[in-house]
Order: sequence, then structure tokens, then C-alpha cells
Amino acid sequence: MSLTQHPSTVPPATKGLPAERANTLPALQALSDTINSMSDEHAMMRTVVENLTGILQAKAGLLMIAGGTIYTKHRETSDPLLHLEQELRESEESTLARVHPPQTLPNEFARRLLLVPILWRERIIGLLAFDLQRRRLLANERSMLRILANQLAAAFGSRSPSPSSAHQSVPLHGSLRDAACVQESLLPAIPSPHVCGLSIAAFSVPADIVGGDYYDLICVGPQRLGIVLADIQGKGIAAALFGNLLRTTTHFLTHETPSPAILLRKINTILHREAASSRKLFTMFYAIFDAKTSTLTYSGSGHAYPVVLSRRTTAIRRLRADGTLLGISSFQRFREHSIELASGDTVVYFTDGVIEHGSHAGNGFGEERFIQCLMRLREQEPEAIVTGVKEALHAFTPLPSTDDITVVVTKVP
Amino acid sequence: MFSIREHEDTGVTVIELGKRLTLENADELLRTAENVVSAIAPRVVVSAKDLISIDSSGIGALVTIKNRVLQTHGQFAVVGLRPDIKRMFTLMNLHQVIRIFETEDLATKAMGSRRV
Repeated sequence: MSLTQHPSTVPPATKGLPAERANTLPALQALSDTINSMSDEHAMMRTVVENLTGILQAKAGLLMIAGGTIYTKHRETSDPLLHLEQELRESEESTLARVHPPQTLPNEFARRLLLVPILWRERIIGLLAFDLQRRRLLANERSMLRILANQLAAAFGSRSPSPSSAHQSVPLHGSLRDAACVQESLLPAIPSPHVCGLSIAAFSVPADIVGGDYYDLICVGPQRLGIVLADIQGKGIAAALFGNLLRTTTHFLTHETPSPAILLRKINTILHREAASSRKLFTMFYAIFDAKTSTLTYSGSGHAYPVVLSRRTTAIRRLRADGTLLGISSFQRFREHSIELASGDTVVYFTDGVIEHGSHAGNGFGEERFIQCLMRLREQEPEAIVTGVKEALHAFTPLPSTDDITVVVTKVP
Repeated sequence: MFSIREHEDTGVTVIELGKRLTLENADELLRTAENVVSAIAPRVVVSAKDLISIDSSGIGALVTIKNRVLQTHGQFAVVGLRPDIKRMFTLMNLHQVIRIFETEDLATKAMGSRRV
């Protein structure tokens, strides 16, 4: 049995409309005129589904364009339409293939829906669906629906990337490589593996040519080292530019602000406006190691908790810091914590790109696997730990990561 | 793929996320949500029951939508988070800025009766 009630195949219109439907056709025609003048695709889809559901007095209506958003309007909850929406979400292509050309859908719900395929060059590119509660449409109402579907096909069918856009990206690519060199030059050089009484190693791999991770090592006083890790929302040049702004602000503030919590608060106050306007929220972890007292004082804002490995015990500790993402609000407070580090203690700071590595192909590298990897490496020196983590990530999947990855390892000799 | 479901009886608009909300589709979510959040006092529920992966861009998009909704005195909630993603939200203290519920029904009830 066909599940589609194709408007184009229905009998000719009956003479005269029933009184309760007198306004349906003019309303459909008005809607057709309205969408002709609309350029915003999302607004158009929403207008169509909202208005059609009301005009047709449907229980609920749905509009989807392949590869895009599904819009549904429920005047009352419609199980058949919810079911269709779920099928489209799970398998868009095969569900659409069963609608056009009409085939038997293996579920009882589809029989209760009016399905209007949106066709572009004889190919189905979308679908209108309505739960009419078994009410049948008149022939001219169906014809008008077909016209609306054709309008949608014309609006969405010709969407395809311009062939010239690929050529335009070539010179930009060169500029991005220049930007990558600049960004790399801004990362802290570790001239000696021993800074302020710590052995240090680090690596940072941007997912794009330039990245949104930022790490830094800043000498903030005699025998005091500031360790900064930040993960800026997004990647690529916009995140990298914001990262450089964050770097400058951090450098400026570290020398006048001895407290990590106050430093985070000041950074948030200064950069909140820029972060909000450019939608660049960011996480940050800032710690100061005092070599005289072997104390680490730290504060964080939504950042992955660093891991402390100890030579004395197999138990791991996490540097929990409970601030919220920076940039959400102009007024945020952060707590400060301190721990004493013993000889042989290693602290591993990282961004969530490590955890997310490989997640585009299924489950990511994950926190548990990362911790197990660190446990195996806990007796090693920072350089060997960094190498070990890189190898573990590569062994998990050699494909490039979709997020920036940064790991900084410090060890008390 | 996202879907937007409007419930006329409760006045709630549900934005259903797909499996991933990352850099690749965060802007698409914002464009999709633009019409919803521009209403007066919208009641927006983001359903994350299918979501298995989210990155900082995805979180940024959710926070941006939430901020836009609150600017017009609307209500915003996220429902159906998997335990691991819920844990990440907790780690980032997002539960302090975003209302999180188990189901759409609970979120709708918590939003109270519809404003006229």
C-alpha cells in the first residue's frame, strides 16, 4: 500500500468549498506569497510548518530538508509524527527513499499521515508531513500544497557550494600557515628541562593549522613559576587570535597578581565582553609553583582537572577546581587551593582534546584510558611521559584529532 | 541533524540535538535556534538524548542560546544528558548556569504553567 497521498494524483477539485474550509485556500495562497518574499531559510521553514499546520487544522505538521533541520509543530502531541521524526533522525536517506517513489513503510503510523515529498529534478530533497486525524483534503487544497512544495524545492534544491569558493581559499591557506608560524613562536620555549626547580616537558597539537589551546610558563618571582593552560571554544584562526589576546592579558596580569583565583577573576572581567561578543568562552587553569616551599597554588574555571602522580603511591590525585567557564558572565568568583608536592611528584596538565581524541569515529580516547596511560608512565621523566602520551594517542587512532591537544608535564626532581 | 518541535499546548519549543554537537555544527545550531530565541519569553528545552559527543564549541552554542533566551525573560533547560556528558557539565559547573532535567516532561513541569 502506498503511504503517500500525492496531491498531484488526486481527482479534480469538487465544486464549491464546505463552509468550514472557505478560508483554507486563500490562506494557502497567502502563505505561498509570504514565503516568496523570504530569504532566511530557517525562518521560511518555520513559517511554512507553523502556518500549514494551522491552516490545515492538522494535529501536527513536519517539514524537513535533507541534511538540514527538522521542524515540527504539534498543536496536540502526534505519535505518528513523532515516530516519523525519529525515523528521519535515525535514517534520513532510507526514510525519504520509502516516501518517493511511494513504497510501503513498515510502520502503522505512516498510514495516518499526509506525506508531501519535496522534489528537485526528480529527486526527493525533503518532506512535508501532517497528521490530519484522518481528515481528507480537497483536490485544490492538495494542488496548493503541491505548489508550496515546489516553492520549497526551488528555494532549497539549488543549494550547493560555489565552485569558485575552493579557489578563493588557496591564498588564505598561505596566510594561515604564516599565522601558524607566529602562533608557534609564541608558545613558551623550554630552554632547560629544569625551570624554578621543576622538570618540564610539553606538547601542543592544533586540530587546524592554528589552534585554540594556549599554554604558558611564566616566571612570576624568585623561584616561582606560573603554569597556564587554556582551551578556547572553537579552533582555527578565530580561536588562535583570541588565544593571543588571552596570552597578552595573562602576561600583563601575572606580575601584579600573586593569587591564581584573583588572576582568573581579573581575566574574566577584562575579557568577558570580547568573549561574549565573539562567542569565545574558554576554560583556564592557572597554578603557581613555589620552589622554596614546594607548594602548588591553583585555581581553575571549567578546565579538565590536572592529574598528580606520585612516586610513593599508585593512587592518583586530581587538582579539582570548581570555577565555571570564563566569559559566561562578567561577575564570577573562583576558589583557590594549595597542595604540597614531594620529590618525585608529577603533575600532568591537559586540555580535553586528549579525552576527545578519536571521538569522531566513535568513543574517544577517554579519561579512563588516559589515566591508565599515565599510571604506566608515572615513574618516567616528563619528556618520556609526553612521548608516551603521544604514542598512546597515535596507537588509539592515527587519524588527526578534531580538537586541539595540549599536555604539559611538570615534575619535582 | 537538529529538529525543532513546537508544542502549542505547553508553549514549549524542543530543540532536539543529534549525536554530535561540535565545532562542525555549533553555528548551524545557533542559526537554527535564532527564530526560536527571538520570540518574546520563549520556553526552550534542548533535548540531548541522542547526544554522544560535545566539545567546547557545542557548549558555547548552548550557553549562547541560554543567554539569548534569558535576555527576553524566557526559560531554558537541557534534558536527557548521558551520564558521561552530564559529568562533563558538572565538571565545568554548567549545572550552575543551565537547568538540567532528566526528561522533557520534568523540564516542562518545572517551567510552570504557560504565560498568557
